[in-house]
Amino acid sequence: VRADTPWKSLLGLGLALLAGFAVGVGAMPALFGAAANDFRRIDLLFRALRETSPPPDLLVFGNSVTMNGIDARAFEGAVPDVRTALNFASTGQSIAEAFLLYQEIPAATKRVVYAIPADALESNVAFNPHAYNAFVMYGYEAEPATLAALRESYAAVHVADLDRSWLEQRIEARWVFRTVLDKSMRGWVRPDLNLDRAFRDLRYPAAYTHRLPEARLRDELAQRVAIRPPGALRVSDPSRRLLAELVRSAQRDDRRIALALAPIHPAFREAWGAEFVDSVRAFAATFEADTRVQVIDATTILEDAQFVDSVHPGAEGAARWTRKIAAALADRG
Amino acid sequence: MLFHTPTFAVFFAAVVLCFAATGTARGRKAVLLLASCVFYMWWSPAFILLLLGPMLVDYNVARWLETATDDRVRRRLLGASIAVNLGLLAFFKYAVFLLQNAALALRAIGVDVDVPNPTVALPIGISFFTFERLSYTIDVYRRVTPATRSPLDFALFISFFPRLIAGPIVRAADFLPQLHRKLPLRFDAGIFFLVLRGLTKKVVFADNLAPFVEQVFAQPERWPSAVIWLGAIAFAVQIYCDFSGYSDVAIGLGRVFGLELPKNFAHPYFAANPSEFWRRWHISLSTWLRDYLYIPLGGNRDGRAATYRNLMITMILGGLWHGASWNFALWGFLHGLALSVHRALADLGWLARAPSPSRLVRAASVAAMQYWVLLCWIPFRISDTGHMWTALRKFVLFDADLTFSAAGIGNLSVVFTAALLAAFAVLHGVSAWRGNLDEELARAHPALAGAACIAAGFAFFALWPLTEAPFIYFQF
Repeated sequence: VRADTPWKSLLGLGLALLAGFAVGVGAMPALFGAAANDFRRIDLLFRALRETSPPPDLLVFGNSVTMNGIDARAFEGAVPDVRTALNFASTGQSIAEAFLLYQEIPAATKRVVYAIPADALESNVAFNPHAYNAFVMYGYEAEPATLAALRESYAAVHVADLDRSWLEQRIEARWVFRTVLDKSMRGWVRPDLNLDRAFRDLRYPAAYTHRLPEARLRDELAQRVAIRPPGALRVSDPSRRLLAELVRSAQRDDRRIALALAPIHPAFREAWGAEFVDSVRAFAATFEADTRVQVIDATTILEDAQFVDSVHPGAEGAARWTRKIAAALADRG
Repeated sequence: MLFHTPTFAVFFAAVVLCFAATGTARGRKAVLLLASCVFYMWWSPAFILLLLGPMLVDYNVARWLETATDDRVRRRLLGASIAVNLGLLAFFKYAVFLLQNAALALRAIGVDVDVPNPTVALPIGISFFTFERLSYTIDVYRRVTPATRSPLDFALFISFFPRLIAGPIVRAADFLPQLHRKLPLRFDAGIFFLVLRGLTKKVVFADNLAPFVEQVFAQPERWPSAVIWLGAIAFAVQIYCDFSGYSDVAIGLGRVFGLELPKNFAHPYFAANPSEFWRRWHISLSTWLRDYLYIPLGGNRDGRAATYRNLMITMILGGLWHGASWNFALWGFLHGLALSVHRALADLGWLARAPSPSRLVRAASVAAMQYWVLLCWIPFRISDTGHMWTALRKFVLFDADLTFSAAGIGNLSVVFTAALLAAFAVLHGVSAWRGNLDEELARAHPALAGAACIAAGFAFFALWPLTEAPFIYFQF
């Protein structure tokens, strides 16, 4: 290549540039599969759904509060007809993500518990950033009915990810390169966490095992409490619509579904006021009456000492919450 | 229409085709002028009047300046040009700032005034093309350069699109003579790799460092000193890659049309003292400030005290050129202080006079200078006074809290940022040591050049920003 480069050499350089881009697009699924990221648990869940035999009798969905707060083993034997129970919660899992997973549940699985903090129902957003892309990169294909329900439930801007082509999804998946180094190093940076459990444990994938130092906990609480203004629970319209869709799907599939409202740290309950707790109770009662779905409200059952940080229950808190759900499910038979 | 968007690629291809299809010298310049107007109007159609209108004033003033012999008349003509250009700049860029500060000053002395707070949109690139117009009429006044007789040449000099929005700031004496021939259309490997270098700086480094910098400096009270330091280093690299990346692409695109634009950067983070830094950083602005502000103020001709004063005035105004905000003035003040102190030490004979100091002395000087440069970037980046002082305190008084766990477990991409900075350090170091990599690659074996392109293509795929980010200097 010289300063007086002929056009064909420049064309070659341009094509080489495009080839590098094409290599990235082609290798993306393999690179994504090997890259550490918060959604790797989704891959574990898909494999479990395909490979667990016999299929689980009970599945629990939810976010990291549920991962840290429910030990699914406690349901086995304690709840009628449940021999195998799995915790299918994943980090930041929204109702929409749980709904994506719902279509993958084996027909033989007849019980589902959806467990989240009540304030998570206030969100208008369907997915955490990159969540749907991760689903696709791990081999997920949404059924038309799933797509239709999500499009009907959320504003178009929040479900735009659903409309991307396979090429766009592969290009979009490059976000993983920005996170892979930090996610790989987390174990070294935070030796107090047991984050690998999220990628191998299907029963009690609790990663947050050590309580934060008091000063740090107070800082964290102060920051997070300020995010939500005090006042009553305001369940968003998309959450209402998708919960209703989830209930309809369960009825259609002859599946029993329960909504478990997760424990909330006393500092939040105090900051958000009695109005919040009362409105959660009112929502639980109304939802149960309207849908015949069992609602297990654990919003107020844990004290400060039973949390490891501002949101995640510790071992003692998890045992207590799990017992409450197991007892409630057993009561209904 | 950013350089790294498909829109610009289509626009540029169309300009090249029209340019190639035009056979005459005048026609090719007309194509570039038309393209420049379209490029500017893509940003803000109405402000095209602001770009072209004062051109009529400056074009005619320059012609009159050339023929006029009466010094008083010439001074008045020059004054009119300066008044028009600085007046427009003052109105669009500094009016609100001046009003607000006047109100604050009046309130401080007990006069309660109700000052209007109008919203004035800042025309993109105004600081750059205003300085170019000013330098033209001043140079004609000084009889350094002749006034051009071609309105087309003058309009193209002011509006040439590759450097219209963020420089390099071009001098008429360098640019106009290049228009006295039929402009050739050139494509070669040197241009290809220069543009690739600029895009890599912007897309791979600057845009991927930006989110980390934003997170750190939006809430500096949250982070330990180690993170503040990393944030300052990340911003130093971000702004360098963003701005010099723009300059590289602008210079490369200029060469496609046979127009050479001035070099704007020369490895500034290897500078060992303040004056060397300003010979390496934003060279077209620092030389402009030297020639049209520092020297007219008296330069170093009126004794030491006047020299230091002139340095301070020049740098503070240079800081304010970046934006109507006191944090930019502080940035300029700190650099002016460094230049003055360095000058004073030289005047006192305290600086090593050896022509080539030992490597160790040089390395220590570079480290000390870059510590100051990093410190100065903090007020440049943070306009909120409280946050700025917090960050400066943590930067200077290191808290020795090295537990990066305080920075979260993934929300703040500490490791990714550190890896990017390490990659930048290697590439920047190699290019400072061996010469620019793009020039090496342009001369390299085709297989090596092709491999570099494949690597760049993969890097673009992997690290292309998820959201479009404009160049930082567009806001100035």
